[in-house]
Amino acid sequence: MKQLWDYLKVSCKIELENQLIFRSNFFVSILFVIIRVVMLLALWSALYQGKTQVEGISLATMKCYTIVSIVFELFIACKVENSITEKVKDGSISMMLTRPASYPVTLFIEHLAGTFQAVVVWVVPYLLVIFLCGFAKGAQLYLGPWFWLSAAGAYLLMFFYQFFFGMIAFWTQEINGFLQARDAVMLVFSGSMVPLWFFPGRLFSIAQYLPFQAMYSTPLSIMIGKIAGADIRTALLVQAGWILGFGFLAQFCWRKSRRRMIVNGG
Amino acid sequence: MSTDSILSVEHLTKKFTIVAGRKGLAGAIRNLFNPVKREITAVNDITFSVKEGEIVGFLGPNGAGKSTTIKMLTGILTPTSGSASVNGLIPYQQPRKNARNIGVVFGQRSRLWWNLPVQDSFEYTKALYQIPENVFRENLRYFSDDFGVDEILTKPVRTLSLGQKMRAEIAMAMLHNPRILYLDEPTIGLDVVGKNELHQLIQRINADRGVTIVLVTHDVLDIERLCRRVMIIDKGSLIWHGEIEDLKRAKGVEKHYHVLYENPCTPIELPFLKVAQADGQRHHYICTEDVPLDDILPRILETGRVVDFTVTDPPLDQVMRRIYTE
Repeated sequence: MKQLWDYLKVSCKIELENQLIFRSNFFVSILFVIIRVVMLLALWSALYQGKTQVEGISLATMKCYTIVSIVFELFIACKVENSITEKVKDGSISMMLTRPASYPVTLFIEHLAGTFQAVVVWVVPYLLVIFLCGFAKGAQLYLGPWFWLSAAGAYLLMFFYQFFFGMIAFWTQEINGFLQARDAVMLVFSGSMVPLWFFPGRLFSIAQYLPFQAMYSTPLSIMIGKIAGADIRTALLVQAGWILGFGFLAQFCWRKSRRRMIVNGG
Repeated sequence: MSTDSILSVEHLTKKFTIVAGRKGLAGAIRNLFNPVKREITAVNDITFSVKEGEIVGFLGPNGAGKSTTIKMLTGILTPTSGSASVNGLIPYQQPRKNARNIGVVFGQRSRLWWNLPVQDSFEYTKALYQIPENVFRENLRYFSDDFGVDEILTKPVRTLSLGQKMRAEIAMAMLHNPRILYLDEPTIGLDVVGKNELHQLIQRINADRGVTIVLVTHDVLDIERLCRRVMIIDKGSLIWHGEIEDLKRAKGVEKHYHVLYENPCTPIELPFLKVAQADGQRHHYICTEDVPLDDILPRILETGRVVDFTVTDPPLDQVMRRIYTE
């Protein structure tokens, strides 16, 4: 336990340092995030066209959904998949396997440290901007334990999901084409850009059977009250199912991959 | 297997299944749907052992299977058959335990954080290996006092020279006091001065720390400077192992005799001696058979007054070239 704690601390420090080292990159990225927020808010205002409510959601709540979904995206953003595929491609995966810590654990620490970095570097200045501008005025939000539980679940799901796809790289060596297609599907069906309740009937049903809604839509819908009461329990159970599913798959692939590993280059 | 060996390998074999690509665009398209699989043997039935405190060299041309062998010994790859034992552990079955006993430096891959000062990478290693503060400080002092590692601690890794980077890599691999240090092509890309400094460093840590060193290289200079014992791998098989002196005697029987006489004189004639050069005072003979010096020296001395006389062994690279082409 002490090892993991020390390891997490030093990983957080290194992630943060790595991020802050190039100043211009840092400032430009923050600017980019702000532009994105302003644009999306303007877009929703235009789409509401002066109506107070659409599908039972007020404009203020909708704006809130947008802002939180961007913050949430930063919060659960995960570089694990990329980290694995890059290391498999250039062969530096071998260095990871000569460490006195298991690789999956190393990856999870990497994920936590990445989140720490994101929270410090992005989320904080970002929320500051939002509150200063008063965008969230008039929104009705639920930020109780169910929201945090579903957020934590989404975080864990994201890790196992990426860990699983990263493991595929051990088999195929190169999966970028597939991953890009998958991410395009995810952008639509996660509900992070356009909330799922705006989807026509059939698309909405498809979204329910995909894991993406459990990553974004579930916690965000709980937050703005679109999912409430008994529905919360159902949504959380579905999420838990996805976590277990991907967790099992990831672990299974990891076990298998150890045996058939090929290390590229020298 | 002798009792004082820290590392022993028996009948170690590693086979890979690879997709053998067809040539050209049409071939590439056919590969997509009907790949041709082929099994290659990267390491073929290798048996050897290494004594504690030894520096042993692993020599072979590119793609010979040296690195694959090291990857099995460090627990990265699982052998297809055969077994390996490192410090009492089976590395590919207990990779995490094994990791605490070994230090690994791959010349072509860095463990250092590229954008950050060297000390951050050291701190990271300290946490990862749970190195006690006093051990960490002591090791840092050791590498600072003798090898100038303190000068580069606060510098970002990307600003270091290749030689400084290698020194930092080796120091980092030694921070947790491993019993065995694997160095895979540590001198790759270094100039003569850099190589020399690194050779000294490796010799010193072997002498001071008693750490067993397995040196993998295709550079015969590394082997000649550092190792007494060498293992030569080619096409996956161990084709020779033993002391370097024996190797030279067994494989490179060519010896060169340079004689400088006081006055010009006629060259000597012996059946096993080739005259390479004989213009007056300077004579250069090449002996191509394993003949004791005793059979040659008297004849050289009775020809005239000798001012200078040198015997040169065949350079190891010449021996190696002969082995590979055999």
